[in-house]
Amino acid sequence: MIKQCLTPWWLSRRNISFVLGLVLILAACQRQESGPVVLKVFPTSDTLPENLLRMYVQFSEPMKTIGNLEKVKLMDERGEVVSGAIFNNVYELWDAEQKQLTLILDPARVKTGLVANENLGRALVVGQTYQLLIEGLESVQHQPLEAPFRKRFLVRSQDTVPPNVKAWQLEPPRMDGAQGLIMKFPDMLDQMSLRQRLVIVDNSGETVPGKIEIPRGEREWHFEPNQPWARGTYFLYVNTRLADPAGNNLNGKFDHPSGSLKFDKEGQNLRIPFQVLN
Amino acid sequence: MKKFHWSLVAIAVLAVAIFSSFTLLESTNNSLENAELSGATVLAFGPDHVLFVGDSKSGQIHAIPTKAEELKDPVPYNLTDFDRMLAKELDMDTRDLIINDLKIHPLSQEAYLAIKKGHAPDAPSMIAVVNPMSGDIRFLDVKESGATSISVKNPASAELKFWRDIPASSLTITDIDYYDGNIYVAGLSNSEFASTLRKIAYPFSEKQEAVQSIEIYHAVHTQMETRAPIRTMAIAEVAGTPTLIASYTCTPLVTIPLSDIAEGKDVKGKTIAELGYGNTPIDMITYMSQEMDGSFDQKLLVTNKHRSGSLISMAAVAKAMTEGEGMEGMTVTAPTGTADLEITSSPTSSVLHIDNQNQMMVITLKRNLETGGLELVSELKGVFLRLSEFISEYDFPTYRYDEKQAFTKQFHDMIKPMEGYPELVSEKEEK
Repeated sequence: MIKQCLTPWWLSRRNISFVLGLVLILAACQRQESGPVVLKVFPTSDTLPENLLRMYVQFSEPMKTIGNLEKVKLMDERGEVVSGAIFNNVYELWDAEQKQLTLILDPARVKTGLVANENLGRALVVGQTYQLLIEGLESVQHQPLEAPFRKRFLVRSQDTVPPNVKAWQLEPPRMDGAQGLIMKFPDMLDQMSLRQRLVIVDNSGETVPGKIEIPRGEREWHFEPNQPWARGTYFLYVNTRLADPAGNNLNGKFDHPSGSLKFDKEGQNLRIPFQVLN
Repeated sequence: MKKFHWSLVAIAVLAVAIFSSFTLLESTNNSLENAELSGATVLAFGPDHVLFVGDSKSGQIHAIPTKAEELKDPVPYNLTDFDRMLAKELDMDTRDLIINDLKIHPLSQEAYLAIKKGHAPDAPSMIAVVNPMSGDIRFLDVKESGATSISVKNPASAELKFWRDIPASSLTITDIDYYDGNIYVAGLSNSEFASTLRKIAYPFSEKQEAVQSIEIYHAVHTQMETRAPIRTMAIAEVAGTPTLIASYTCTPLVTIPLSDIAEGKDVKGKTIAELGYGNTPIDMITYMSQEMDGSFDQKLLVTNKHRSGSLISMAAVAKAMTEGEGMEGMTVTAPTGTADLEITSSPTSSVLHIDNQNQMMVITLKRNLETGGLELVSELKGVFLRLSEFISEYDFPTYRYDEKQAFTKQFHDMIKPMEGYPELVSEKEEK
């Protein structure tokens, strides 16, 4: 009797699971009500080239796809907005899940010889620090970002060296499964390019499905096949559309003199063979 | 007794939540289903008034036959409360309504609008049709219309069978134009800064061509070339040659002969002007304009997101295209960035979409800067503004036009009834 009086009713054995369930449901509801957050901004490096062309912002939830580009700002060291730096397109570039927004730095200011470039110069100045400020964006449920997100970065000199496969270092995988395939690049590459423009193909010409990771500031590409490697020859196919964050691709610079492209046609494929040994 | 009470409340709350979610599911199951598309980004009319709908979500282009009665009179649109009208028709909140494009039916002058119902990735799209005579809104029946569709190939998958489309990669269809048996489709990729121009035969077959690349020269002295996607375009005969006039994301205006656009070709576009920086082109239309001296001149109008529109004579476009130095295009980088081309501005900075409505008028979808609402209204070509948006001395009942203003009065008397204010037409007497 005494025990019954001291124990709250909701701790009784009969009710405990029901109450716990209700608490979990309420907690889940509460969680849904909190706003979306920015998970990551690519390039992840905090030092970026003066002629940076594109950035990607990844969100935790599907976001509204209109009216956002006015809310993404590039600020200089004094905290002033660098106007016209981010290309305010009519159609915003989102992935199908509406969780990744592509930002393009106004190409008219990035390219040499255009009036915007000659009159305003590039938006980014070497040696200065900037911050990308993302605030006020809303999820599809009209929930605003939980907090403003800032990415600070220092600007280094322009990157006008197209990516070159000859400078890449390939570490072949080991059959014992201790290591997947690792490709190392001397400079960062575009994360979407790395996901899309590198493919592993086996000796019979079939694509090898697997998991891709892009660590070390987009300077490495790791590939782990879904099925274990077999001994023998594989190929890494590289499409020459593979680009760096400044828009230079394997076929040449983003802003290139007439006739200077490596291949006549864009989108050629390069094939790098490698052996999987014991 | 107390514990019983609380358990009941909790159960009741859960029951209400479950019941209301069922009701929500039920209410979406209505007769508008036949009008739903997975996406509708861009519209264009083609032969026999077929409506092309670019659906970026599914990567498809649908060709939907339309039925319409001919309207010959220039009947203006004056729907200054349009977004609320449309939201009411769909029983939804205006903040959940997205309007992606606007085109006029060439026969009936009805406005066709690509709309999306809600912000979620899987929210359906529809084509709303507005009649200028009645102001009524209906929704295009897609399922029973006999529509045909084609998938827009990813250039990557065309190059090599195993280049996969990764989920994070998307292509937004940004413009479609029909010309002589083909549609020309421009798109923007979210993962690459490259040209994505396609030529697709209509009626749809297997035939689909993608140019390998389009390089545009953008400064003659250094002969720099660049890869860049087309943002908006128009097709017109320029100096007797069917030509794609394209506006790029980096603002130059470029001409490309249609005959150059073919599978695997590396096309060289010719830059004929820069439209000014800090600027994004939205729509491009051509129309025949009557000049003050009574002569006719074909014009090209490019509307911009952050600036006034750019109005250019097509005769000047032809001159720039044919007389420039070969492929080098612009020979002078003038401070305004317009080279030799004379560009006048049009007051279209609040216009979200524009199309030719009839010989006299354009239709515009514009944002009212005071209310934030969307208006679907007609404007006179060449004028590109509405008198009723401004309060001027002409509006006072006591205002009298003097003799020198005969032309102004004539113009005002025509435009006031067109904008829905016939009572403001002043009496005939003049001072």
